[in-house]
Amino acid sequence: MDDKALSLISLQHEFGMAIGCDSDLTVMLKIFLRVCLTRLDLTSVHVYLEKGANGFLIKATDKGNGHTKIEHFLSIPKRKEISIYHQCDLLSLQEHRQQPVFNEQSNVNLYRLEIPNHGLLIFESRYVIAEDILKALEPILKKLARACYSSIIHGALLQEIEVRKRAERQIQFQASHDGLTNLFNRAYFNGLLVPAFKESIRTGSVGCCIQIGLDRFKTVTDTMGHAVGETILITIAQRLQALARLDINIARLREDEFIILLPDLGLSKSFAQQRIVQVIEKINRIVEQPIFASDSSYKINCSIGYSLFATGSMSVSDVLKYADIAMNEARHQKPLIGVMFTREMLKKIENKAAYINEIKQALIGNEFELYYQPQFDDEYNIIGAEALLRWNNPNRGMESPEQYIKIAEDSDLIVPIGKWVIEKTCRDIATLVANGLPEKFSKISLNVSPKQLIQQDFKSTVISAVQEAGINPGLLGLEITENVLIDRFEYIIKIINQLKQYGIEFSIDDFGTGYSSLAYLKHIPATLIKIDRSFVIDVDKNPENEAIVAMILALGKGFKMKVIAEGVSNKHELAMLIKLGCICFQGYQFGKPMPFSEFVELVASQNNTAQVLS
Amino acid sequence: MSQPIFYWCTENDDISELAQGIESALAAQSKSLLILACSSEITTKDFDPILTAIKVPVCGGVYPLLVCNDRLFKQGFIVVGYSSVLAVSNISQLSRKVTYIEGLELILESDKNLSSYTNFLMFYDALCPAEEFVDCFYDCFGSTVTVVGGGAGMADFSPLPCVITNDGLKSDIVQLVGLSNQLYAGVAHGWEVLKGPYLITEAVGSLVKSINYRSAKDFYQTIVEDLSGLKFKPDDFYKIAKNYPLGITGLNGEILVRDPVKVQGDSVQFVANVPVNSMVSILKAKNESLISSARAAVIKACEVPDEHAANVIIFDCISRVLYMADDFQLELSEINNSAPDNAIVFGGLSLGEVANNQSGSIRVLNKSTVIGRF
Repeated sequence: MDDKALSLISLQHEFGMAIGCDSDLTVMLKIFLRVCLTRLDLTSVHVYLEKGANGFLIKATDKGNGHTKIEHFLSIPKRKEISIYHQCDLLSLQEHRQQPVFNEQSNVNLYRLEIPNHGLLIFESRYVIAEDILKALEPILKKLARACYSSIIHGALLQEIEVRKRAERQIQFQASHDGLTNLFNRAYFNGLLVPAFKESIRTGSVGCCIQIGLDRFKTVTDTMGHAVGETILITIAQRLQALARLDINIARLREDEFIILLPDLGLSKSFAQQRIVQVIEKINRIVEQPIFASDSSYKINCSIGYSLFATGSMSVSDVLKYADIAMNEARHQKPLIGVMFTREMLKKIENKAAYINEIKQALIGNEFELYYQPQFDDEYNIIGAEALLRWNNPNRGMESPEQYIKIAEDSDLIVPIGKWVIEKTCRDIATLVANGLPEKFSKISLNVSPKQLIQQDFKSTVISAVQEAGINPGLLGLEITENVLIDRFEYIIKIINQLKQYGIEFSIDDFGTGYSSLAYLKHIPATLIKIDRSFVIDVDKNPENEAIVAMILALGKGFKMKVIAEGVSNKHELAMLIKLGCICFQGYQFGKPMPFSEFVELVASQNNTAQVLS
Repeated sequence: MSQPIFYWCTENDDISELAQGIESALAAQSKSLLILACSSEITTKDFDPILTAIKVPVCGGVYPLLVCNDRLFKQGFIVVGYSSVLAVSNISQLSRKVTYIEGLELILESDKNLSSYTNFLMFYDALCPAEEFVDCFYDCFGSTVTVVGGGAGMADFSPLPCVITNDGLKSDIVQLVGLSNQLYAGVAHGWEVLKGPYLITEAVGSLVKSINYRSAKDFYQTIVEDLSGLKFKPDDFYKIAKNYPLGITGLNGEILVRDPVKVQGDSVQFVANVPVNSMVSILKAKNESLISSARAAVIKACEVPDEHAANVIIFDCISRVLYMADDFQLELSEINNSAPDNAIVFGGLSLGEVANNQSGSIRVLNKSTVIGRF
């Protein structure tokens, strides 16, 4: 064999060996181009590959499916691209196949070689490449085309696998994480808790679940919108996430509640509690930091309760339940170190459940009754009354309203109880009307809870009660507190307006003790303000109360609303109130709440007096 | 412009001499220094305090022998001071970096010194993977870049720090010096094909395992013994091999010389890579052709008139001295005589040379003369 033939064979052999050295297309071509550059002594070498309309590399089997174009893929050296070949199509490739183009400007020869079905190879050389060498490259280019095909298929497969893996990872993530905050979700947290709980039982090492509830979060979302609410939740989640370590897992439990698992806190309960308190203090610090959302800054507080687990006397679900109970307890107590679950809380809940049952029975068994506390003007004319719920428990006698009203509120029993109160009041008004009302008697009012107001059928309940009793709607007054306006402000205002149009008037009860925003007050279509008894007590002796009462009276005047003072208990207070300009009163000075029969007599006596006077 | 404003050399290799030379260069308002050193006593302990104290950019290397005009120094120092700041880039820990070429590309591409210049001097540790580096450098910057350089180190290839930096003497490093004025290069070797070609059938980098499917050692030694009439002995391989390098003949006829330095088992170790499947020949040269090639190289480097190009730097392969012995002085005289009158002529005898080939690619050469004029 002569030297030339040997040289060509060795060249072919080296090129052949350089093809397919890697399954990645770029790496494979880079190795091949490097050998081209070195062995052919080129100045630069370039690969242009066919791409489909979608921008993906074309496999030979895809050819003929729509428009294709040739795009630059790789060059050695990297910086040097031969721009005249950009966007050139296969047709021009065929026309100029293997004919060198001499570029006078750069004093180089350019060779275009087809990679069958895939693209072209461009050699930049400062000398003329012999025809037999180009000929020797033909089988190499066919092999290169096959290697390109395999690499493209391989790349597409890898891409497909990667896409699938990514989708699987996403599904796994979604199954275990909360969509909004990216914290673990409840189900995944339960999965983490089970082994931690079992390990704790096995080793005796104390574990803990800390539950965090954001205070008044619903109010913020109702008033500021859900976007703000979501920003707050995400911010707090991110801050809590900063606490997460290998041994601390954090999840979002419900809308505004988070839970943290602290496993393996050691055998000493007191030491465990120290660590828990440290974590809680940290949580309080990070939650309290101002949160910026929609150009405003929000300060959020939280209530934290926790339950310990280290013995077999409870189940996994008990751990979660107890943390929840402790957190609810914390909502009332607000300690900075959180509230630890105790058995007494469970007893309290059991008692409460029993009490709720009793309330239900009381409603069914007609144990509730209405008492009426009369209201007078400054000339001792009865002008109305407030209907007050009383429960005459057959076993314990008269129950304190402060106890059962709150529980009824918490348990939603206030809704059926409230309905009963409205209906009974209307019927009692009808009785009073039948007996004849004194001239100055204007109405009987009753308290309406926020939960009643947001019931869809509240308006119809009231109107039905009025209609069924056959009374003038103007004889019924509804008392709301300022706090009802915190939740669903616009909806409540709409309902009040509709009932007002029907003829029922509203008053603001306990004025000055709640969410006293003048901006809100301006929008409430109430006609009466009731000064809370806490400002009336000792108004004759206490200059601060005197100032507050004077201010509320001025406010009523400004808003063109009547004002009535509640809880007037002696003549000194009465004298001061009259001095300040108050002309309507309610309190022991005028009469205690009394059963309806007594109230009927009182009204009758007023009628008689009026008749005597007249 | 890279104008030399200070040129100083000494055959005394006492470190205090170097300190004095540097002090004089700085006193002459040099903005940067090029230092070439040759000493069997070189230690980082002595060098580093002097180099790290220099407040201007410094570059250069330690070479087995130095060239100062037409003189060959077996020890001593050369210090050249420049009126401008040379842009020196040091790419250290190269053995590790070439294992991740994409990372090395990023380092080179993000180096503003490198992307701002097209003419470079390259000083490098002869034991570092220089070929992988120049391939990567060429991939990044292409044929518009002109480079001349030479491998620094000890004649016995002992692994010692040999590249001069502001951080001291360093090993496993490539140093690129961006020149603000034009670099003219001339490259030649003078070797001619004696016998061949043969096929490299197995090789890893610079270690050739088989030629024509036979043990590389046996194949090479048998052919050379036939040609020379000499017999290889176990401990003096290079004594004969230095006269019979291999040449990789390119398709354009250019011969890339590869110097066989030792045997390793059945393999032969070369100074630079010999690719598998390359066609190689046994080369031979006469002293006259070597001298004439050196003259051709310097004439090529100096053919373009440029009064600002007043530096002629030589990277001449150390093996040429060993091959030519006393005749090497003639080569130096030829180079010096062919250089422009206003130029300073200096350089080092190197362990591998670097320059662009006729196609523009940057190659690591053996047994060659590389002349840079700037």
